[in-house]
Amino acid sequence: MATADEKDRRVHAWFEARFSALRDGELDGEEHAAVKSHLDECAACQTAWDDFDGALGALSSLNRTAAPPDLGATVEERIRKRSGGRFFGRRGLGDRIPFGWLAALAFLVLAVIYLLVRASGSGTLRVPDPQVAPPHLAPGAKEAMPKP
Amino acid sequence: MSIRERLLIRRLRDRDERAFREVVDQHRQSVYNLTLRMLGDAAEAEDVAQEVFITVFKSIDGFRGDAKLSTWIYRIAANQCKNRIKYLARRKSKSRVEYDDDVGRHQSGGVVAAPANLRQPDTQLEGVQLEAMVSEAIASLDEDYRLVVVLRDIEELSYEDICQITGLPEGTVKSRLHRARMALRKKLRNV
Repeated sequence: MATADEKDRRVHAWFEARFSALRDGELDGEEHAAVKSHLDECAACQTAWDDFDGALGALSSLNRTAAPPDLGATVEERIRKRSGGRFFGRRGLGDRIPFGWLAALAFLVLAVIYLLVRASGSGTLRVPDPQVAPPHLAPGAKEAMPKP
Repeated sequence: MSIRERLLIRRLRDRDERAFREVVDQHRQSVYNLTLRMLGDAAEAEDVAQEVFITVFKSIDGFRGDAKLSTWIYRIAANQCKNRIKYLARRKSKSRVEYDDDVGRHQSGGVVAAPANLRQPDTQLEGVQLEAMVSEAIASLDEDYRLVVVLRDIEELSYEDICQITGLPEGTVKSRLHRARMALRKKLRNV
């Protein structure tokens, strides 16, 4: 059977286990009221709560130490040094070439050429030169041709 | 994630120097604070903060965007701090710089302050001493506990953000935080 001291310890431990939730405002109404009323009655728990709350208050009152003003410049310098100056430059070759776009463009160009060839009557992309006369037969050649 | 943040990430992927500077300006304070509180040493904190940003730019192509950019940067910072703590422990480098020297140097814009007990008024002296005691108490915590305390009680992040940074479930974060706070209560009882 538990002694009165053990019971007390258990009760204190139960309330102490709720200190974080109390501090974060995460206890529901009933539990919040129970903890608050216990703190009003129990000097030991009230002292423990004051210590707890004081310690967290000290944490949140810590000054935010200013970051070194040249942090960015130093990082940039480190990156340039390690990458041999290539990191911030546009990459000439490698994964920055838009292969997908180039492939689509090539396909489009090929499709246009195909359609042009199909559309031209001569089966070629060459544009007929109007200054060049079409070939014509020499006089008398027609007669010289063998008749079927 | 906002459209502005998406555009910023796109510019980072395109190796835009201005985007790079924007990210450093936006996050250097929070990253430096985390590294300083985790490591307790200004020189180490600055070095790790630099490594954090280098890692951010090197790994930006792998950032999936399923968390906020700030959360992702915090995660990198937390991991870098843990690695540095392990490295320092291995090297058995336990020569921690006096914390009040660091505070004095940064608060006076990089100029090393005179010893506190010679020049500073009592209230400032008390403040510096209190800060040193609190910093020492934080430094004495196990690194996993230290991380959740710094993120929650100093950086004041939400539980959701802390879960994403640490990769831990909310219940674990809360129980670690409670244990860490109780440990700090014991250490700071007489403050």
